[in-house]
Formats: sequence, C-alpha cells, structure tokens
Amino acid sequence: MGALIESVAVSRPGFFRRGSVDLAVKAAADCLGKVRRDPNELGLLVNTGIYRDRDIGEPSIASFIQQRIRANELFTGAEGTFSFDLNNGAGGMLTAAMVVDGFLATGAVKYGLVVTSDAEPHPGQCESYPFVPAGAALLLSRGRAGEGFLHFRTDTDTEFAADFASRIEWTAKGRKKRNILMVRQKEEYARHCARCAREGLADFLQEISMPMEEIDIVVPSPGPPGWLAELVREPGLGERTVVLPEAFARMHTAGLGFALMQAREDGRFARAKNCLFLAVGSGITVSFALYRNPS
Amino acid sequence: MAGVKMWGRIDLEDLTGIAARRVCTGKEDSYVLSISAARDCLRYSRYQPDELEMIICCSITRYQDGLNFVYEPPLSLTVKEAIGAHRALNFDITNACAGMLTGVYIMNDFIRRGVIRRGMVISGEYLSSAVHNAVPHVKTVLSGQLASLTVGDCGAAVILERAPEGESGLQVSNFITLAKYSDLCIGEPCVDAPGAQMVTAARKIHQVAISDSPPILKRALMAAGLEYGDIDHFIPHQTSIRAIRSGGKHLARYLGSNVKNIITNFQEYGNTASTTHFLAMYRYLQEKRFKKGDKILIMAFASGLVIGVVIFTMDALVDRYGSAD
Repeated sequence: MGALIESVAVSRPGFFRRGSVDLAVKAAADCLGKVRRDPNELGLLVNTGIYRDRDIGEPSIASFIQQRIRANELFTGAEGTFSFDLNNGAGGMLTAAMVVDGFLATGAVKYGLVVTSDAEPHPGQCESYPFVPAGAALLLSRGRAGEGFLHFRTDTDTEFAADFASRIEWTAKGRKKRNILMVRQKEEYARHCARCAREGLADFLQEISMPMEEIDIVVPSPGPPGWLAELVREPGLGERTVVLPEAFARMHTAGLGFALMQAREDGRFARAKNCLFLAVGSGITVSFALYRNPS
Repeated sequence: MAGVKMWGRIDLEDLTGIAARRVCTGKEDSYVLSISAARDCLRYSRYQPDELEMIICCSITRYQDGLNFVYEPPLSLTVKEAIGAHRALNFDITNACAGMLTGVYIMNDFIRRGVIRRGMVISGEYLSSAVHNAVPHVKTVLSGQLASLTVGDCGAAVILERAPEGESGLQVSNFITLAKYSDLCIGEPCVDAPGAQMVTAARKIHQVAISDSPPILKRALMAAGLEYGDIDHFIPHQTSIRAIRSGGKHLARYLGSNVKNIITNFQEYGNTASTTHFLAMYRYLQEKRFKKGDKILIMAFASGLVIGVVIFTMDALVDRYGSAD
C-alpha cells in the first residue's frame, strides 16, 4: 500500500505574502482546508523548500509552518506533530513523499504534509537568483493495497554536479562585504537534466516492469527552463506529459506541485490510472515515483 | 573567549561547566568533518562504502571551502561521492540540534520496512564562527548570544543496519515539535562577518524543556516497557552543567526513579549541536564503558522546539570498540 494524495494546493505571492514561510503557510493551510482536515491530525510535516527567509538555518522552517497553521503547537498528551526540513534540490517533494509514505505504511502517522516554498532570502541582494517565488503542499494519507505511491527511485549523475550550484558566500556587494546567496547555473544544465532523466526513465520502467504505454500521465517538475522541451522529444512522452507555460519553469521546489495542480484541474490526473512523477534538480538528481490512482 | 567583555565578574567556565572545546583548523569545514567522521565510522564497521544504501547529512552548518554555506547540490551528494558510496540514496535534513537523531528516526523506518539494509547518518558541525561573531555582542549573562559561546566543532557518523533476528534494535524513537516555541533560538548568516550568528532565549528553552519533556519521556518509556530506573546510560543534549543537573533532577522527581548514569562530555567539547549524542557515545565506546545489554536513552532538545527520545539496547557494537566485560 502506498501514500495517497488527499489534497494538493499551491501559492503565489500576494500583497501580504512575500516570504518563503508565508508562501508555505498559505499552501499548507489551503491544502488542509480543501479537505477540511484538522491540522492537529498531522503526524509529520516535512518542508522541502531551499531558499528561505533570511537564510535561516536553525530551527527548521517546518517548525515555523507548523506554528502558523496551528498543528499541535503544544504537547497535550495525545499524538503530536513532528516537523523537519529535507533538502534534495528540486526533487525534494518526491523524496519527502517517500519518507512520509514509510511512516504512513507502518501506521506511525495517519497524515503527513509535504510542504515547500522558495523565495529570495534577501530580495535584491542575491547574485543571479533565478527562481520566482512559489509554494506548494501535498497532504498524504494511507492508501489501500495497490494504490497511491507504489515505487520511488532516485538517480544521481555527478558528472554534471557543477551545472547548478548555490551557496552563501562572504562577498563584496557595493562597498560592504556581506553573506550573499550566489547561484551559478551552466547553460547546458537543462540539456543534461533531460539526458539524465531519459537514461533513468528506462531503468525505472524496467524496475517497475511497466512499459511506457501503461503510464497514463507524466507529472514533471517544470524547471529548469528548457529541460521539458528536450525531454518530450522522447517517443511516447510528449502526449503524456503535463507541460506548464514557460513562466512556470522558473519555479523551484514547488514546480512539481504546480504541475500536479494543473493535471488535477484539467481532469487528466483523475482520468489516469498510472501516474509517473518525475523531478530533476541539482546533482544532477532525477527522482521518479509511480502513483496509482484509487479505482 | 578572551575577547568577551561582560559586566560583572562572570566566570564562563563556572557558568557553563565547559572547560574546553574543539575548533576547526583553517582547512576544516562541515564537509571535511563529515567525510572524516564517515570514514572513521566505516573503519569500525564491516562494510565498504559502496554497501551503504542511504546517506543522510544532518548538520545545521553546511560549510564547504571555508565558510561558504552550501544549499545545492545537497551536501550529502558531495559527501557520498567523496567516501565512495556512489549507489546510496542521499538527502539532507535540517532539524537544528535534533538533526542526527531525526536522520536516525527516518533511516530506522526505511530499514524496518526492508527498503534498505543499511545506511549512514552524518553530521559535520563547524560552529566556531557563531562563537567568534558572538564575542563582541555578549555584555551580560542575559545576552541573546551567550549560548553561542558554548558551541564547539565536531563531525559524527553512525551506520544503521537491520538488527539480527531476536534482537530488539531501536526500541523507541519518538519525536515531537512544540512549534509554539519555534522562535526561541534562531541561527542565520551573520550580518557583519563571515559565518553564522545565533540568538537564543536560553532560559525560556530550558523552562520549556523542563516542563514539557517529562510526560514525553514517560510515554516513550512506557512504549519500551521500561522504567526510568531501568536505563543504564542517559545521553542528554550537551548544553551546560546547570541545565543537565536541574533537568536530570526534575526527570527523576517526575518519574519516581533515576537512571544509573548520565553521560556528559560538554566539559571537554562544549555543545556540538546535532553531533552531541553521538560524540558522547563514541567516547564511551572508545573508553570501553558500555556493556552488551545496557539500556541506552538518548534525549534531544533542539530549536523548533524539538523533543526527541531514542531508546535502544547496546549490542555487538561494543565488540568492535572493546567492551567493559
């Protein structure tokens, strides 16, 4: 049995919603609100956003989100909520879904929330920050046998590890030196992402003993810009893949949530039986997941 | 510490109980500490790096090439390549000082379900910059950056694998985040110097830990079928002598018995954040002070506010380091 997607929600900046925590809280609250789920029922809350307000490293951003959505803020003697951050680049949502899936399978928790958001940590002060602010959340519950997330796989190809790198460096900005977020991305990054995904996809399909014809829909991470156009040239992928407008390709960890949202809104996700989630990110890391919709 | 100019005659060693701590040399950082610890851990194991199926890096600090804080690719990817664990699934976890235990909690679940056979949880805490950056700001014992003076650098790694049939493995790993207190300790890049700064409401954190941890620990002990007095070694988060003493007394009073031994090492190492419990365990293993069958209780208190309990029985691990038997 696998984790079922009970609800999905996304968020974009608003007048009072600009930071990463604001975006994550909006997505998380909407995600729970759509299915009228009480935040106190959450056993796990995993945040997979990378670029966070003020570059806060401690505590986890997940704990701020938990506080703002009021999920078991205090210990009452009943089950509580456990929060932490998980970083696996743009594929973090799938890695977190894999982690939550395990705790759902063993019955350790009833509901798990994967939430993510990215926003420029110090707006205007970062070097080459390429992403647009966005948030997404995925509420997961325990599915029946043969339903939900059935298989996960992650491949890394470090040959292209230098294609995308981000770190905070002590660097001169104007007259002063500061700790500044520096993002470096090579032109070939998108092409290499597509290449790694194509190679990994064949192995994944073999691993799950399923030909591409049986995959009804492919839900991919929309970024980096240009990678999907490369990917869908692969025979059999074009008609199955959810392709968002190019502007969405500049979303980072939340991009996968937006693609899923799009597929749900246009009905393609509900009509599909076998769904393939596919995310690419720095490393290069390619994450795959097979999701089977409940019949 | 010589640079600290506080009002009044305050002896920091007397206040915290910390006599020494380790500081990275110029060539060391979170990455170097992580791979050094990982290689040392492999030396005591029967595994080769390519037999590891999962690598989780859990440090608060992710400094590489000095004080450059790495976001992407995740540090776990660089570390796994450096140690030769090319096949391992990797990701990073951030959960303040509970990071390594959170990694253990996650990996334990993957092992129990049979998804992986073994993996390594790693942390390389290069925290000294928070000390240097706090020095000019600490003027009184009430300073928000006073706790920054207590931290020390350390790398730690632990390999987890499936327990043999009939052995209990991790009996309990139970974590909770009391998010109402998530803003009591904030670590972020320093505004006017390389590295980090940390502002902590230390007294409030201690009060919450004292008031909220006993019922959480009691529940974990019940799940393990143990009394507090059954615990042979208790490894708390290594903060300060006062916090550990008063916390220990309060737990004993609440639970009606006392553990046989509380392991401390902050006197020599300071507070090494997410590595603190495993550093304490490593020293005890090296000193051959564990026996097979000892009941070990590890308790995490971390910003967030995270309270975590891990209970396990010491097994054949002592043979690889040498046991007191």
